[in-house]
Amino acid sequence: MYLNEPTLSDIVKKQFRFKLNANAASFSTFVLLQAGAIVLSIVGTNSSFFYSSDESLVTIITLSNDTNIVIAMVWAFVLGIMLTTRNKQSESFSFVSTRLSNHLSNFLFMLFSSLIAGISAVLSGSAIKLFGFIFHGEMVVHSSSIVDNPNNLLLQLVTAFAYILLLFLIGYSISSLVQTNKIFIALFALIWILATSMNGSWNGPEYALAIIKFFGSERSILLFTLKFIVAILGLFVISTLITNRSEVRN
Amino acid sequence: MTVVEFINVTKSYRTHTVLKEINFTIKQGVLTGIIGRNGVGKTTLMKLIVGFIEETSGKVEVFSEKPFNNLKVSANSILVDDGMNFPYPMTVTDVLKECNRFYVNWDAKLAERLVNYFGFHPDARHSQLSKGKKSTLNAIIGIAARCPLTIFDEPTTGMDSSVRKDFYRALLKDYLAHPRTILLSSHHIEEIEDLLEDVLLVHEGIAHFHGSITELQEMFITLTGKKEKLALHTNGKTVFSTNNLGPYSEWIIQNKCTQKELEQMKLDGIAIASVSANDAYIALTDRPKGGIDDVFE
Repeated sequence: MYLNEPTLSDIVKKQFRFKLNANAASFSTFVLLQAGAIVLSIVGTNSSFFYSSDESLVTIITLSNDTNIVIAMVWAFVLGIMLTTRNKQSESFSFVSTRLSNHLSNFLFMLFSSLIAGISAVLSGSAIKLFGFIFHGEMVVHSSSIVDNPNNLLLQLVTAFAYILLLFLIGYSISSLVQTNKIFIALFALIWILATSMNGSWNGPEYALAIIKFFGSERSILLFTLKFIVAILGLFVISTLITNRSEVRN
Repeated sequence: MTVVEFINVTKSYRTHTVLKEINFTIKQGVLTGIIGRNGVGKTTLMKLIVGFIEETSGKVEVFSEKPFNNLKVSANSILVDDGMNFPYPMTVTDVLKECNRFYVNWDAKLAERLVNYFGFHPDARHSQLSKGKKSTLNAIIGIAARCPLTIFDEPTTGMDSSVRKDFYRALLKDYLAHPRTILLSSHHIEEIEDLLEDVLLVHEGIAHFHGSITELQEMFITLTGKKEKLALHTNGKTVFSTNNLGPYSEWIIQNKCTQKELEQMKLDGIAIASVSANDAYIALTDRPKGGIDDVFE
């Protein structure tokens, strides 16, 4: 009897391609969300200054692609949760798969999606500038361009990519834990309550903010990258380990 | 060569135990029917073989390896059941394309011909197919994948009778052309008995019987005659089923009568006949006393 002995990387590659096909619709959703975010961003925030000395009025309109990046992060979080649902899991196991290959291909998919999402969310800045110019009429546009500050764009790309991937993995890990045992729903609810409530001795939002600051206020690129790699790999390893004995297609 | 081996395998879920120290082996290239009543653990057994679930105790070996989390077992086996799930947007053509990439022995031409024959629209979405059509497509995938270990769990659920016949015929033809180990479960033993080489009868968590259909049939005989005469001749023997047909009764008993006893029966006007595979299966799995009629008495 001839038995086929595939390598893990071979199957992971095939599953990655399968997952791209299977989740094609989520990219269409992403495009729609980004278009919506662009529309919201075009209006911008207005601030006007009146100079009484020469009676001139200066209006500063700030356009930003922050909405696009935040929406991309929310999208990643939701998609991360969806990737570990029973349904998605059994779809993978309709073909050749082990739990490890399933996780690895999911990770590749999240990596790829974060890259696409990060790049488009950052580059939507140019679209916002263009539409903003059309919408607000003639104005002086100031922005750092790729020509005079190439590092800035690169930094934006890297951070957007990192944040989106982190949100992907947070969603993925939460959902993996919940799949393993529904008691985690209660645990996450408790964490949520603790993080949002405050009284004399407990200040939840402050602690939550400290975690965000741990990533957000990092000034050194090297440390930032290190923090993210550790966090992302840590979450991934946790999700893989806790679901490695889970029963599928049940 | 042994393809599947179960040694004292127990599988428990939180509330109950399904398989209780079950032992059996499946040889390479044999088409085996897995039969048993509802809820005896046929599906559990099949899921253990392909590594979807893990045994509670004992040892499961497929291709001499533990199947749980095993890439080699996954690549060389396929389980066709109604839990086969494909992503919502995928069409029939998309699903077949994916199969082609995952299964090395995939016969794309055969799959295409079967899909055409059974009247699928190539752009129909798998998720929107009717129950019978879904089962048909899953069965086509099972046949065309040509996995060394192919498992069908109730593959004909929802299929109409003509599609069912066609499927069994297609399976048999492909099996003869490309011999491989096939496990097939069904409630309708009469539908698959011509197909099977062996049957594995799962009952009360163990392998109650494992052998050929003929062996299964030869375990019992049917006696038809007057009730009193039957009672007289079967005294001390286990009667598995009784059926009253007007003045005559039809009893199924274990085939352990001596030649002399049989001749005596014949002299008393009792007709002796062999049992169908289905009757033998029911006799083996029924409680010796009490049927549905007793519930209403």
